[in-house]
Amino acid sequence: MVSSTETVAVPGALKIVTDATCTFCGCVCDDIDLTVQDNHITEAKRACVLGKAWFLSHSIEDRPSCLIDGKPATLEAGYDRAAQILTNGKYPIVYGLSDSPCEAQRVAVSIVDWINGTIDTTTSVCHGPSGMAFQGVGEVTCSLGEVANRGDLIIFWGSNPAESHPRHFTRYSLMPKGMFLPNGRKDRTCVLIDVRKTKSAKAADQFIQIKPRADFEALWALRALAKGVELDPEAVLRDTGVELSVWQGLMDKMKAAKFGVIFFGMGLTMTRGKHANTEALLALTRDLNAFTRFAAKANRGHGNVSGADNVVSWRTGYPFGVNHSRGYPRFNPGEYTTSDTLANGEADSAMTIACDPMANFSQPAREHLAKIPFIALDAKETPTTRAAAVAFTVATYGINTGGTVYRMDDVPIPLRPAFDSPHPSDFEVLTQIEKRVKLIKGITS
Amino acid sequence: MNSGMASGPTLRYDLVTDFRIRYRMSNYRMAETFILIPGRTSDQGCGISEGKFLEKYQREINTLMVAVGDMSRLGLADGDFVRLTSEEGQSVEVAVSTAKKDELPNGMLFIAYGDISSRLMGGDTHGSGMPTSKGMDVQLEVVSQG
Ligand code: SF4
Repeated sequence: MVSSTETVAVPGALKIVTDATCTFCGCVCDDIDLTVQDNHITEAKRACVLGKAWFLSHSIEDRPSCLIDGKPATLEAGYDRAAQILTNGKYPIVYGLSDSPCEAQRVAVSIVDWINGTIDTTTSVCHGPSGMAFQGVGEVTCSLGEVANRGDLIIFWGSNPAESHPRHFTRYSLMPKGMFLPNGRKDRTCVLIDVRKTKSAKAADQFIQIKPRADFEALWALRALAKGVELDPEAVLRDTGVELSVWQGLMDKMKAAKFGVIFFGMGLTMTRGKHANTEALLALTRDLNAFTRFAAKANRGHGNVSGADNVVSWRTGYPFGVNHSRGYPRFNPGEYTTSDTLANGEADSAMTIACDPMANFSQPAREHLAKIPFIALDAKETPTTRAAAVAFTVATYGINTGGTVYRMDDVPIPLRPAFDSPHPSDFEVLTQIEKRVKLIKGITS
Repeated sequence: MNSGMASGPTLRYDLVTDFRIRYRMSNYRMAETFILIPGRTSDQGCGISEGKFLEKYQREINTLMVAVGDMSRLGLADGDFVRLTSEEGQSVEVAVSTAKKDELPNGMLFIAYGDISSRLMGGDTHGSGMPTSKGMDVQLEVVSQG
C-alpha cells in the first residue's frame, strides 16, 4: 500500500500534483491538477463544485488521532480497545468502506472473517437492490470509455447527475467527442426520466415525468413495447402518469439507437419496489439487445463504493450483507445488511469505516447503534465519530494516502496523494486492529 | 390528496414566541398526505466535505421544498414550519421553502438527504437491506406561519 507522497518540505513552497484523482463521487475523475501550498490545496483544476469542496476544504484535522469514550488516547490504546470490542461481541458487524481504498477494504474483510462477524458496505443503502437484481437478471454493461466513444442515446432514470455527479455529462456521457461520435453532444440524444424536474433536465433533449413510485410499471410498459405487445393507452396513462404515445416514441428511439445506455440512480433503488424496479430495467436492457446494442449502468455515489463491491465479492463471493457466524460466508440482504442488523437490535458491537450511520440511518437503527460499543474510523468529525466508544481520525484517501479505487464502471484507478497527514491511514488502523484480533483469538498464521 | 388523522400540535417553546404559538393554534389544520422525495443537492454534497456541523450543510438538510401551488394553497411562506409524520409515526418539524416553478408537482415534497430525511425512514427494509428512503408517504401539518 502506498501511504503518501513526500511532504511539502519548504514552508510556502508550491507543489503541483498532476492528474490527481477525485474520490468524492463514483465518476472518480483522474485528471485533476492540484496546487498545494503548506499542506493546503489552493486550486483543483478541472474539479466540479463537489470536487472543489472535497479538495479545497480539506485540511489536516486538528483533533487527536484517537479518542476513547470522547477522551484523547494513544493509538495503541485505541487499537487494543477496538480489538476487545470486536472480539467480545457475539454479533459484531463491520460497515461502511465506500470511502476507503481497496487495500483497506481487504483488511476489513479479514477482520470480519477472524471474528465470525458480518460485513456490509454502504452499497446496501444505495445500489444494494441493484446488486440483488444483477444476480437475478444479469447485467449488460460497458465501460464509461465506451459510452464516451459510442453512446448515441443516453437515458438517465431516477438519477440527477447535475447535482450528484457533476462531470458525468462532460467527461463521459454527453459532451465528449468520441471515436464514433465526432460531433459530441450533437451526435447524441439524451432523455431524462424522473418524478421531479431536477437540474439535470436542462441537459436533456427530452424530460419524461413519471408518477411517483411508478418506475416498475413504466419499465414493464417499455418491455411490452419492445416485444410489440399491444397496451391499453388509458391503463398506461393511469399507471405511469405518461401517455402511451410518449413511451412508444421512446421505444422507437431506443430501437433506432446504435449504442444506447441507461444510467440509473437511487430513484429506482430507494423507492418502493427497489430490486424489482432495477430488475425490470436490467431486463429491458437485455431485451433491447435483440434490436441493437444497449447497456445499463448504475450511477454509483461514493468514490470507492464499486471497489467495496469488488473486494467483498472476491473475498467472500458476495458483494455486501455477508455473515460469517458459521465460519463460511452467507449472503442475505434484509437480514445481514446493516439497516436490519441494527434496527432489529441484533448487532452487539460494530466498527464503522468512512461512513456516517448516525446521520444517515433510520431512527430505530441509530437508536440501537447508540446503545452498543462501536469503533468509528473517519477523516472528519461526524455524528457517528462523536457517539463512538473508539474514534480514529484517519488520513483522507486520495488526498493524504494512495491506493486503488474502482470507478463506477469497475475500472481500477490509482490515487495520487497531495501531501502527508499526521493521522494514520484507515489501512494502517485496520492492520493494527487485525493484528490484535488475531492475538486475542490465538491465530498465528 | 387524502385527509389524514389530525393530532394536536406539539408546542415548541424553545423556538417560537408565545405570539406565534397562539397564531399557530388558531390556524390549526387537518394533516394531508404528501409524497416525500429526499435526494442529493449540490449544497448538501459540498457540505459533506466542508463540515456537517457548519451552517451551509445544516441549512440545506433542514429545509423542506414545497411546490408553488401547495405553498399558496396552505398559506405558507418561506421559513414557516410544518410537521411531517411518517407512516411509522415518526415526527419532525421543519422549515419550508418554495420550490422552483416547475421542479415539483403539487403533492410532492423534496428535502436534501440528512438527519430529517433519515428520521422519517422506517427500520423495515422489506427483505432488501434498503429502507424505503424515497417516495415516502408523510402527513403534513402546518405548525407555524408568519
Ligand atoms: S464529478 Fe465527482 S469525481 Fe469528478 S470532480 Fe466532480 S465530485 Fe470529483
